[in-house]
Parts: sequence; structure tokens; C-alpha cells
Amino acid sequence: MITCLGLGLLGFAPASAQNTAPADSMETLAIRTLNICLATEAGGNLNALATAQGYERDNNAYVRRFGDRWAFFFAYPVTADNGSQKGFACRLTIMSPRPNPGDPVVYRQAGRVMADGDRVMERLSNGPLKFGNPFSVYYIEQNHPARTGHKRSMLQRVSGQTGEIIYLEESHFTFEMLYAKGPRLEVAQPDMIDAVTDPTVNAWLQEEITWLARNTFCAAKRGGCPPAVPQKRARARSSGTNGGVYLNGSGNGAQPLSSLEQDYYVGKGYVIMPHNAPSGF
Amino acid sequence: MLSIRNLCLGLSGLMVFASASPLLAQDQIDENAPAASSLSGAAATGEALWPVPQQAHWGQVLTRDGKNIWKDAVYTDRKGRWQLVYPVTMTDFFGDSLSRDRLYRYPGQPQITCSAMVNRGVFNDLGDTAPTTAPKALIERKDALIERVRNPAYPVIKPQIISLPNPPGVTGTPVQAIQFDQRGKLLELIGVDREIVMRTILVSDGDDLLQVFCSAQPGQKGWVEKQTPVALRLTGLAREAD
Repeated sequence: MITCLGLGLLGFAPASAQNTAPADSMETLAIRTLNICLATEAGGNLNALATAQGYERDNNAYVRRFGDRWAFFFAYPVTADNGSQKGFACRLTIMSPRPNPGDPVVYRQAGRVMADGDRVMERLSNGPLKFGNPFSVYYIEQNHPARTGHKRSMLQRVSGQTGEIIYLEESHFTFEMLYAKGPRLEVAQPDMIDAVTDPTVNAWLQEEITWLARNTFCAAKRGGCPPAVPQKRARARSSGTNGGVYLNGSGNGAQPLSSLEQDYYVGKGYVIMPHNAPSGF
Repeated sequence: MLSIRNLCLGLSGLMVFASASPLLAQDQIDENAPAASSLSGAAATGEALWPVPQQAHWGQVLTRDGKNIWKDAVYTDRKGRWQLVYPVTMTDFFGDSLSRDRLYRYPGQPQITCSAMVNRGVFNDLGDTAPTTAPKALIERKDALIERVRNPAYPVIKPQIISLPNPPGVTGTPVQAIQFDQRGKLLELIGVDREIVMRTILVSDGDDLLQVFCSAQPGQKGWVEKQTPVALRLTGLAREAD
């Protein structure tokens, strides 16, 4: 489905020589991923650009792993709800595993998910200010009002009726970047951004990479690991909730826990996990 | 609203780009950040100035851990030349967001403020060298400058030259600033009808005069005296021409 982007777009030449060798760190990869996204939007061949940076195709996603950190990159066309205007969006999620306390693998993430996060944030938020048609800062390093421990930044630019945003969100375990282009009045809607960067979706991805990390760890360990004991999980009681991690007994209308709160509560028997993991990747 | 389903799942079989024309000016982030341009003015005065904040922070308020009760809010000047530090609880912004002046107040208690105001062109007469010669001229013109910015209805208390605290890890001559206090209904013009104490700090910024003050009711005099000198962070760009 994504390969269709490459059709009819011959004549695209890589703009800069800096992308000749694949990125050698997660930090560089994050910056180049936004460049891939912008180049794809301008008519580049997504598959060629992504694989040149060491990404491997996995269904809709491009995935690359550096040690304990995984990058998931998605790029796809979008349409406005009324179908009037075509748009484009990219999403990059970088995560580390998050083992439960009972897991055999011990993994402690010392700092932010990107070791040199300051430089990455500096490049990602200052670089677009220097474009020919520059982005401008809408908010920067702001505490996310609904997600404790998450900082978010947004840059925007407008040309005619088309708007573009670059949205960055960082928490202890997750770095997330969203680029979206679409109708000027709709592309920067906070609801849309929050839905696309829903931590529930990330939690599901994180379970995957935690499982991979556990497998790697146990394969390297003499004698392997004892069989996993499935965690006892209560079913989410409210049919009105669509995932998220909740404090047990918090009742209808409760807010899902933030990732920091989850770190504290998960595995201690205080929380209920969603029984309907999101699907679609 | 954009279709969330499409954003999350991707869309199959859509031919998106009818025209693939906009290849002329392609946007690319330079991953190797250019080295910070040298700040010749700051080197010339030898002052201990704060590092220039990254450009994305210019004109923005950021929350930082700090010495204030909860956290510091740091407003960076639109031109990156100075920062105003105040308690993050002062969420009530007064004034015109298009100007470079800033006045932050405590909600419901407009007498508790921290503010930064740019008095434009005060050191114009120094010519092109104003950014580096103005710090000295500021000391020489102390009385005239105080006359210029003071509230004429109330006396000036303890006018003096002070040294601003050096930024952590930065060596150099401390930035010299004019400091004075006033007491009275100093914010009556903007509707604060009560007696307050206010400490004002004056420094040069290029050929402009930067006036920073904090105010509160007389019972909070100690906070005003302590907060005002640390409310100002003058960056290296303050000694550069515009």
C-alpha cells in the first residue's frame, strides 16, 4: 500500500549527501526520519529512503533496532473526513522495553529514551525554523495536560489552505514524532494529535518489544528462563473505555494512567489492563 | 478532523499525489547543527552572560525546575537576548503579546508581578559600538536613567549599582546593573489600587535599555528583593548589534 507512493514519482533525486550511509545512532535516525518524511511528502520514494537508513519493512511499519531501543516509522496518505483534501502523515515512535517486575530480564533505562535527547530536540525543533517556508513554534516542551510526565512540542506552518505540523512528544520510555499535512483548519486539532499519539497504542508496541527483549535475554542466558507466568489481569469493567491502564476500582469515567503512573503501579496488583489490545499494525 | 482511522492504520490502494511538482525547494533538516556563531560583543566586554537559548525557545515560556516554590517559568525574549524568570504560578499575562514587553502576575493578585520592558534606543547616541560600550555608559548615566524609568510620584529608595549573579559554570565579570526600589501605588495605571513595593533592575541590551521589575505587597518585600536580581538572565546576544 505504501509502495504506491513511489509510483509516478520518478525524477526524485536525494537532496543531500548526508544520507548516503545509514544512520549510525538512534539520534541521527530520528532526525533523518523527519527528513525522509518531508522528502516523501515532496515526492520521494519512501521505501528507498527508509531502507537506505537501515529500516526494515514490517507490514506497514519500518522498524530499526539499536540495542535496547526500537524505532517504528509509519508514513501514509490521509484524507480529510469529508474527502475534500488529500493529506499526508508520518509517525515515528522510539521506545525501550518496559519489563514487569516479575520478568526475568532486568532492564533499567537510565535517562531519556534518546541518550542525546537534547540535541535531537534542538535539531528537530530548530531545523524546521530555517526552511524556505519556515515552521514556527506553537508550543514547546510543554507539559502534556492529560499525560503526566510527557512533554510536547508543536511546530506549524501554513501555505494557503494547507497546514503542516511537526509534533514531538517525549516521556521517559517513549519518543514520538508526528508530521501531518492536511487542511489548514483541521491538521493541528489537539484531539487528532492526541488520538494519533495515544499511549495505549504505544503500550501495545512496547509489549512487543519487551517480549523481544525477553527472548534475546533468555536465549543468551545459560539454561534459559523459567516459563513466563501470565500476569493476572482483571477485565476492564466499563464498556465505555477503549483501552488504557486504570487504577483498580476507579470506576466509570476514570482517566487512564499516564506512563509514569503505570511504571509505578503495574505489577503491584493495583491496576486493570485492557482486554482489547488495539490492532491494526 | 483528519480521519483517525486512516492515520493509525494507513490506507491501502490510494494514489495520493496527483502532481509531484514541489521538488524545487526541498525541506531538509541539517543534522549536523551549525556551530554557534561567535559572540564577539560578549568577548569584548568580558561579561558573564547566559548562553543563548535555542531559537525554538525564543518568544516562548518554558517551565523549569527552579528556586521558586514550585517551579520557574522562563520566558525567552523574541530575539533571544534575555530571559525573564518568575514563579510558574504567575500565570496571568498582562499586556500585548505582540510586543517584546512582558508582565506576568499572580492570578487574582495583580500586585504580585514580574516584568521585563524594552526601552528602545536609549543608547542610540553611542552609535555602532553601543552593544559593547553601553554597559559602561549605563553606570555613568545612572541617575538620568533612573529618572527616565522611575514612577515620579514616589521617591526612589536605595539607588545603587549591583552585580548580577553569574550563570552557573560561566566565568567573567559579573554584569553590572542599576537597582532601585520604590514603594507606593506604582501599578495604579493598570488598575492595581493598592500600595506595593517594587524593585527595578536596569541593564543595557544592545542600544536598548532593559528594565526588569518584580512587585508585591509590602509584606512580601523580602521576596521582591530576592527575586528581582535573579529574574533577569542576560544572554550573549545582548552585546551584539541587532
